[in-house]
Amino acid sequence: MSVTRTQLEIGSKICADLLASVAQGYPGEACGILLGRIEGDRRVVEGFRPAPNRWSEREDRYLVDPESLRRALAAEEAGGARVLGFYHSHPDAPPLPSETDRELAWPWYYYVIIRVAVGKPEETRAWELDVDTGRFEERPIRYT
Amino acid sequence: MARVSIRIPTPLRPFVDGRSSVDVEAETARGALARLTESNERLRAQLFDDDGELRNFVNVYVGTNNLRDLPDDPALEEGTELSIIPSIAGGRTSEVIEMTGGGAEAERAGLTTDELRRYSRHLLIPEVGLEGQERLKGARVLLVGAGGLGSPLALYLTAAGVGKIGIVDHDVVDFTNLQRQILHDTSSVGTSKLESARARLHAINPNVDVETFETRLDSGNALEILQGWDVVADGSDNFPTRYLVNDAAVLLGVPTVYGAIFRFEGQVSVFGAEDGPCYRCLFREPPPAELAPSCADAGVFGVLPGIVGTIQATETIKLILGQGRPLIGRILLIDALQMQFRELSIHSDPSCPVCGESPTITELIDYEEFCGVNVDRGGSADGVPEMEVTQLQRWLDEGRDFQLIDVREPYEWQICNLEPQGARLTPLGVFPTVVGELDPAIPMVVYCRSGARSANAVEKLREAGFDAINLKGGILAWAEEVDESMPTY
Repeated sequence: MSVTRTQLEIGSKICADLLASVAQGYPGEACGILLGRIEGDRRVVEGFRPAPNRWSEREDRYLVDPESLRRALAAEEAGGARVLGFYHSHPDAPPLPSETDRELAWPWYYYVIIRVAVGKPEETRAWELDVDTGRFEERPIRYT
Repeated sequence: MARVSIRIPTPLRPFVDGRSSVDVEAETARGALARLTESNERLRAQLFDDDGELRNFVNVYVGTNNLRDLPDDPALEEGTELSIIPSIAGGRTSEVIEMTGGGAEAERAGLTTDELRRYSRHLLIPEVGLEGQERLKGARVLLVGAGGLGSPLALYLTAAGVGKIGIVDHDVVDFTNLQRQILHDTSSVGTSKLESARARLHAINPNVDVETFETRLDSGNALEILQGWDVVADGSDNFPTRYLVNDAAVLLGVPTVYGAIFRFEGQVSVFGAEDGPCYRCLFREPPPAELAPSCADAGVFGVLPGIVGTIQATETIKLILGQGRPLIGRILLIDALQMQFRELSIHSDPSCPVCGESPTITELIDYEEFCGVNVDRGGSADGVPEMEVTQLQRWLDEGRDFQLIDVREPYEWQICNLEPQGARLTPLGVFPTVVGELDPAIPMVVYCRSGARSANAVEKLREAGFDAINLKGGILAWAEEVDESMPTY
């Protein structure tokens, strides 16, 4: 049985900009919105929008600014870029979804986690919540 | 009543037949949400908690204003747009993850951020995951021997994050070990194997606690040393230790991951597990000592302990995780030359003297005696006359009439021999056919590598009426005391 797995595609220029943007937030958690288009099983990242991190009480949490997201979703509704998912950094921690990430996760969106080690972006991985199991499944990232 | 439309985010569209917005008639914002979810239980569960409050991870916007920032329940005008906006949040875990529950064999222990990173490739495998990795960290594994099998065992178990590793060994690193014992390197020749192992393992994974027992495992200390470990991995190279480890582990109820090698062939199994057979169920008694050569006597293909020891490490980790099908009741036979893996079923023997229904071995015995091995392997068999290499040198200088017999194998002869001194190669295997060519009237000096095999040959030759004398210490002693230029092995 073959399993069709969707994947995330990202161009090297956008990816480099994204990593640089995330590294700037170190040692705090940086976060933002991934924008682009959907082609069959592929989600193609065409841009990203850094969002203010509204979780101010703790350094190891993030909350994407709701207003930034509202605007992005309104633009999507108006025929603009699709909201494909979100990214956030794990400063000095592996790019694996934490229990907090899992508890607060929404289905369908991709959650891209970037490990930033001592201020340097090191490893990027993409995850999607499996609604049936309540666990994150990894999605391959294709760099174009 | 005002007719308003509610924008639905992609993740919630499956609950509204895939639509991106739903129109409802309502007077207030909360009224609109109530209408949206009144006949849609699943959607209501997504948006509201059990008390009917909007969930924390959901925002509702009325136009461009967050409902949370507006007066309690704002009235709506015709054509107002409401948007359900997911709240996107999360965060890394910076604390140590708490210990949660105990494992079957090993306790689980919490992981630090550094360990989460180090073991991330394990954490991704469902069969390991966080729970399994915590189990590994809580596990205690004792390795018997830091040699060929102990090397891959120690390296992989350390890399995998087994919390505590004990190693029993009393040897120093020998130059001839380096061909296969990858725990040690050239710089550690002459130093204690345990010191060398400790340094190497610490360099691989400083999180692992290494406890060393610099002693020869024997009946007097085995129960004390083997007590309290979750798994014993046997990397010993001789029968007395193998039986000792088996018996002690069975008496203590600890499973043993067994491995053994001979030249190109290896064996792996798991003994002493609950309801599984032990080593004695399979091999009630050891082979005669002369048929049980050590690596030093028989040679070993250097990669082979790597294969066998790595399989032992695999089985050890599976036992700790409680995953997969361990080699319990099965023995894996490996032939590296043909590259064939075969498997035999083995069964618990009800009459087994140690794990059977009426065991006769209830405490540890003298295993050297049981295996018929002389403690001093370089020495002679009982009552066999022997001579020092210096005496042989004198006999040669004096031009005495005697026969010099080498009972080693041809490949050993090629490395070094006493042919210039008149030695004749007569491997043990061909002895019966050539013994008739030897002259019983002339004394004969018999040698092998270290003096053990030749002592047995001398015993048999003397029984057959020959005036045979064993060369004490074998050709190794000759190389050390008489001819330092001679290559040794």
